[in-house]
Amino acid sequence: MVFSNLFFLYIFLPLNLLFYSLAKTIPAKNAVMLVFSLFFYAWGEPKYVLLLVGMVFADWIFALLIENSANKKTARFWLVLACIVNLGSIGIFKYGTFIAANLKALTGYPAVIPAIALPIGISFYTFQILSYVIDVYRGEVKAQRNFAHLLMYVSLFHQCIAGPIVRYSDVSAEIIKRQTNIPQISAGITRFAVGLAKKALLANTCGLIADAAWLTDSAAAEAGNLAANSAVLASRPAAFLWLGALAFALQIYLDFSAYSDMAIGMGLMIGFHYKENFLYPYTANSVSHFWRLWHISLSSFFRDYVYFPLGGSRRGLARTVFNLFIVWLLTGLWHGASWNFVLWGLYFFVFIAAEKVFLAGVLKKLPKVFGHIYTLTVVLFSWVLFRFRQLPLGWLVFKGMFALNKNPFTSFETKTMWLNYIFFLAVAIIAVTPLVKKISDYFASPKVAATVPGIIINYARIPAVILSVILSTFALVGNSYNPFLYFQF
Amino acid sequence: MENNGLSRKSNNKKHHRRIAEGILVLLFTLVLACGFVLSLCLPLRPSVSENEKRELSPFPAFSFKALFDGSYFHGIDLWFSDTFPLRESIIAVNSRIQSLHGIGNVQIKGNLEQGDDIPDAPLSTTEPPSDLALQTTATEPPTTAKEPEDDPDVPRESFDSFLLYGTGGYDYYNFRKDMANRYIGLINRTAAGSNAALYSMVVPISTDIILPESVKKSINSSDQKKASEYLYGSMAPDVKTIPVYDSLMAHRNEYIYFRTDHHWTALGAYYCYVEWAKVKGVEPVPLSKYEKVTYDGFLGSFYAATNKNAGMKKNPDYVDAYKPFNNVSMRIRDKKGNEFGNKVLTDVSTWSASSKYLTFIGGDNPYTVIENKDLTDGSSCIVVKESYANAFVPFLIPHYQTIHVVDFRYWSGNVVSFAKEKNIDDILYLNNISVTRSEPLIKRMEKVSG
Repeated sequence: MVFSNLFFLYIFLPLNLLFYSLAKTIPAKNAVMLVFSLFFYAWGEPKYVLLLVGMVFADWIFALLIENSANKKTARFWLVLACIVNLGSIGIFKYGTFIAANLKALTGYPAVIPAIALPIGISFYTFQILSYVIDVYRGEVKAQRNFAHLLMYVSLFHQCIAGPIVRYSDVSAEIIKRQTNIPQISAGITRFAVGLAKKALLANTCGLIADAAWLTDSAAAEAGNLAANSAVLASRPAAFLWLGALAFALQIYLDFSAYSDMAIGMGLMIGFHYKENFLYPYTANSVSHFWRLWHISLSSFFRDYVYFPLGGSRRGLARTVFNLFIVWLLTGLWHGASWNFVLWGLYFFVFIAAEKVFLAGVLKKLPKVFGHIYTLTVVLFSWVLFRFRQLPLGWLVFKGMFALNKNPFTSFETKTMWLNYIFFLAVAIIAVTPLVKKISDYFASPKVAATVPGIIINYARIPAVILSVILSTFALVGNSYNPFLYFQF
Repeated sequence: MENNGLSRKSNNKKHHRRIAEGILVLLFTLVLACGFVLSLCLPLRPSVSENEKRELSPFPAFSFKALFDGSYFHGIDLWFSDTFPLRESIIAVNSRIQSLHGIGNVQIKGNLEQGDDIPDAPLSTTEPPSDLALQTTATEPPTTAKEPEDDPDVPRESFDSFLLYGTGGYDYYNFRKDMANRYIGLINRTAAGSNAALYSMVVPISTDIILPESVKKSINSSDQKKASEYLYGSMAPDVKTIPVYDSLMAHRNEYIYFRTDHHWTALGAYYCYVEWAKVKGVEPVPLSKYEKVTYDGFLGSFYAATNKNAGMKKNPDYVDAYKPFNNVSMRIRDKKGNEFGNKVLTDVSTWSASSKYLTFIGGDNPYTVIENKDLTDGSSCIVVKESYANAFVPFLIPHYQTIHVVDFRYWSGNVVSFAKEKNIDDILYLNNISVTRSEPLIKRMEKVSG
């Protein structure tokens, strides 16, 4: 199940909220959330729900063993074992096929490449539970004695399958004690509606445009069609490929951040406060800055559990660059078991390392606008690498954007497509900036809120939110294009 | 004083804020509750979409296997959103919203493909290309009497890509050399294998004929005239090809194609019938000899594919049909194998807006036979067709005692043996040009051909 699914919206969520409000005590409410969450997970992965429960069980034991260790050495032993189990599971289920295929290409063995299905959300929930065990080892949080509590935290349907990667330390207190009140529920509803509209009204349409310009993901992934796909992409006019780049850049942000918005919104509805996962990343003025605003729960995970333990930037320039290399190699790999993701991660490594070494200094001296242009350009081309698992296709698109495939600059169809979506694209671009939020915050500020315009805007939010929900619902009826992109990771 | 005023103001502000928050929570709860109730109103859930001409996803059948591999729940998801109550009206609203996305009375729908270059010289017949060599009968699976399982049942309601220009839809045609050669090959093999005369009519689609020259030139659709010349020029000398492109072009200002549907009109079919008569060497019946029936309010496949474009709805098509003047009887064998009699032109005045083209010869059926009781000369023909020929077939009635119409997509016989068995005079392959680029259709046609 995904959040932008009518069954979720009108059956699962209403029942969840109903039972939640009928349950009077926090233990009862937690029980409701646990049952619903396991059902939610099983809906998409009936078998692998056992893997999820098993992993949480193992880590529950590991954390207790770590906490009860007589000395640091034993604790360290249990931690290493926990890492082996967690990373081993993700290694098998996420990278097993990839590793086997590459081994076969190099050595000829194994003869048969195992086809292992990727359990939904494994990359997200493994990181959540791993951060918990490490935090217990570091003494930053106390081990959770109640297994059901820990299981609820990891499996919570708000974030279990597509983030944000919520740290145990951020919600441990709220598992036992949390409050709901009308202002918070109302804020949660607003946030949820914003996410739903971003997904159903904007991201899905961006996806259609991107697919039209850049081939659908499934068509491009078909290894047997490489020649045909290359021929199609090589003949695409440059302006059409740019349209695809713009649409995909918009789609991936709107899609992914929409999921986080909805998760944060649903959290607020029942008293959980998850950290922000996106802070308008396309407004960044450097690539390092971009990654402090994009998928924050992932980049901060790598920062806290890989970069800092390796010494961060405190061990000299060479070591810093090496540490960055490791972090970005892992970030790339985390996104998928495919070489294009590895290259995608290393692509960012190059720019971030360059910024560490000299580029940040150069950018500081230049007017701010250069930093923005530079960042957007780097990020835009990164999506070409990200999108095409078959590198030759990505390379063709990159060249084609500069008309280097002997492709024309534009065509009748290209002009038509741009015109057909011109207003839509303008709205989508506004939606990736903080403009609407800034206007809304202005009218809610103490000075303005009491004035007539402030009061009007205050009430105008109501129909805006309700209308977004209804229009999003409409857009989801009979819509065949509706996957969340970050599901595959 | 001032302090007092400020705090009252601030209270006021909080007050408004609280009211707004309360209303929002209440309304959101209401929306979820309404959605919950509405979505459980099972009788309101449609089971077919008339607009999309398909059965909607059914509720999945339960099995433990389906439960454990996730397909059961996935099926419920599909059923739930596909058959949502009021779906057709909701989709129409969506289409209205989508029309706000941009400007231009031209729109591109679907994913564009790139056509192959059309060769200037026809395919050399002395040296069969490798594509054809692969198509020897030996490699073909044995034909069985039962309906093949990979029946493409081509849903022409979905297009790879088409252009919305004004209030008309125009299907893209991208020439595919491999498919064109296979089409040529199957025509030539049928001609060689049969004693009947073989006529080939490849009908251009509206894109090349109707669109203004400026648009036609700029769009990424292959030149249909050149493609027709390549196809015809590559056919064996004994195949009687019927050049129709120029005739349709000469009448392009008349109502020869629908705008909301991918078919031609009976008038368009008539002009091509005149060309056929020239090749056949018979006198064409003047159109004035027919009584015309008109069915208004036709909204066809492009209308459906645009999710009910509002401009089209305002300017629907109409279907003219020309009543046969002969004493005729027609029998149909439908896809389920039922046989029954039917009028050549069905009265569709009460039928839905999307069904008006079905007036011609009872729509698409595997096999249809029309007897002209005014003739006793034993003359007969087979028309191998898809839906384009439906508007054409009635004009053949004055010329044959028996007309066998086979829709190659559903029929499981063989044209050559059928022609021998029934002692057929003429075989007419009447296909719109899109067929000659479609792999599933060509594959199917190869199965029923020589």
